[in-house]
Amino acid sequence: MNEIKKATKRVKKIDSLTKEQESQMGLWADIWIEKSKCTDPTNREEFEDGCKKCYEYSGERWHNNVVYVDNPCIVSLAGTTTGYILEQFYANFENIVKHVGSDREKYDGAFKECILSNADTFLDKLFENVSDEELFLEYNIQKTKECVLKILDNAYFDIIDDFKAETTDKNKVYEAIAKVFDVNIKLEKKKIFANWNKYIGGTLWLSWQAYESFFDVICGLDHDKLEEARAYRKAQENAGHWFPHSFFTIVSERPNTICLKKDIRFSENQILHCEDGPAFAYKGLNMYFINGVKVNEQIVMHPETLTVEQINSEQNKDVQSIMIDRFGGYNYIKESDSVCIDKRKDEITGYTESLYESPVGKRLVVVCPTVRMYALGVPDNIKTCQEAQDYLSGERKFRVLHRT
Amino acid sequence: MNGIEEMLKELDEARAGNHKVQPGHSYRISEAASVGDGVWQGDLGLEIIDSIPKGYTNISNPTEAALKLVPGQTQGSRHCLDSLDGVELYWPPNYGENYNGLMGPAFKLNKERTVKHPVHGDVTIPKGFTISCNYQREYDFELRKERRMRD
Repeated sequence: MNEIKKATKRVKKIDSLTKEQESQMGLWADIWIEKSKCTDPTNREEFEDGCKKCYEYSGERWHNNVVYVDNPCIVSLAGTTTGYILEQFYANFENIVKHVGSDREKYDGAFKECILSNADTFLDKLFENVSDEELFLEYNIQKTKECVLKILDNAYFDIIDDFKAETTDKNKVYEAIAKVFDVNIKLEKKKIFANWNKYIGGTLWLSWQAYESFFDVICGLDHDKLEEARAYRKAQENAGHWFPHSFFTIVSERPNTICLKKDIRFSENQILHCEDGPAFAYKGLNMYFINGVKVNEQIVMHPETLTVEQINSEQNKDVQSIMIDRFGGYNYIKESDSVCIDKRKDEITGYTESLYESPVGKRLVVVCPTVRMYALGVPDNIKTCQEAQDYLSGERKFRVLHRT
Repeated sequence: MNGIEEMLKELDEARAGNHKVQPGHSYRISEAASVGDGVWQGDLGLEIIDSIPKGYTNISNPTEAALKLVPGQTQGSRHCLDSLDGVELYWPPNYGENYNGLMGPAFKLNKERTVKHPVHGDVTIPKGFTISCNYQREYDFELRKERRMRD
């Protein structure tokens, strides 16, 4: 096996790559692809070292408030929600500040409790009516709440340290804190969740690091931002998704399962695929894929419970094709009480195609050159495979030279 | 008459690599092809036409997004030109991400171009041809209406 040849001297400029450097590119790409498939637990020490330097290089104060969670769904939800809450604090800051006096230290515990208790109620209301079977699982919502409260708990002194005022009126402070959370959640929901995508992808997002590290390690290129790039690389390589913020950083574990198989078409590519479990999973987040197509748990784990109605009503043709395959093509025809009224060989593909009539309409069942079976709805007046193909062809009919 | 057993047997053979059409194989339209000929790349029909259909608008400064020839965000919608170099692009009325018509973009080629897709085989079209993108349709029994097929 070829071995990586690291640069032995540093250079300030590269005009072109040497043949030896060019020959290392494929190997270097393979190394970084392997890194992106890592399912090891997050290396917290290494991540925090890289992350802290990133804050320093970007001129941000290091908050020392890193919270680790199970999956990127929690990262996004907790990141955007906590960011919103902190924004609200600062929008209401003056109101809180003027009521906190010089002897506020004796009330710190009470104020903190007040913030956390208000935040708890706010989060309950926020997640009361969300429903999405994958992302808003009860587990993820619970963990998101825990994460937000933990960050606020940790960040409390950062927030409160800026409070400087003349008099203390405990009740006024309580009122001011309550005001922070007194928002119309229905109206504000969009704003609260607006920053869900401000995460960085960690080991699942290493393309830039693969590129820049090639010039550092293989070519020995020095440049003004080399230390910054190394710090970013160190953070990226050692954790899952992360959400950096002035007051906190939320970090996800890496996936615990990544099942891949070679793409039937591009042998150098791999696609997510698993027939007996999630192809991509974290604690609290399972994602199912067949041949790179995202499907639901039922299709992978319990295909025998699929119904003909479910299959026929699936609008995504790739997913429907997988459903027929998992359910069994023979079962699909048998259980839909379908009768074959015409069949022929497609001269171009060499595959048989059949027109079926069933109590819920007619379907042309075809095999695509990509080796998938489709059942395509056609109107009742269609009587032959040819008529069905003409209908499916859309508004214009042309002489078909080939199908790919 | 029941074609399903035959089809399943063919599928098994194809998956074992014993079928004349191999998945992902590319195709090049011959220069000898003429108006009215075309190729299906999955649910996208690429038809040779003699002129741009009436009502279409020339996209004079297309962005990279215009490489995509089928609206939508699914894998199935990723039928893309390899480049816009040498492509004179036209869009039908109301064309955009939520477009539901069965006639898509049309383009004139001053250079040979290839239409790519993540799963289906590439289709290469020689320079000089004018192409209309046609979308496959399907009948929805529950809604009792036809719709553009989506994968």
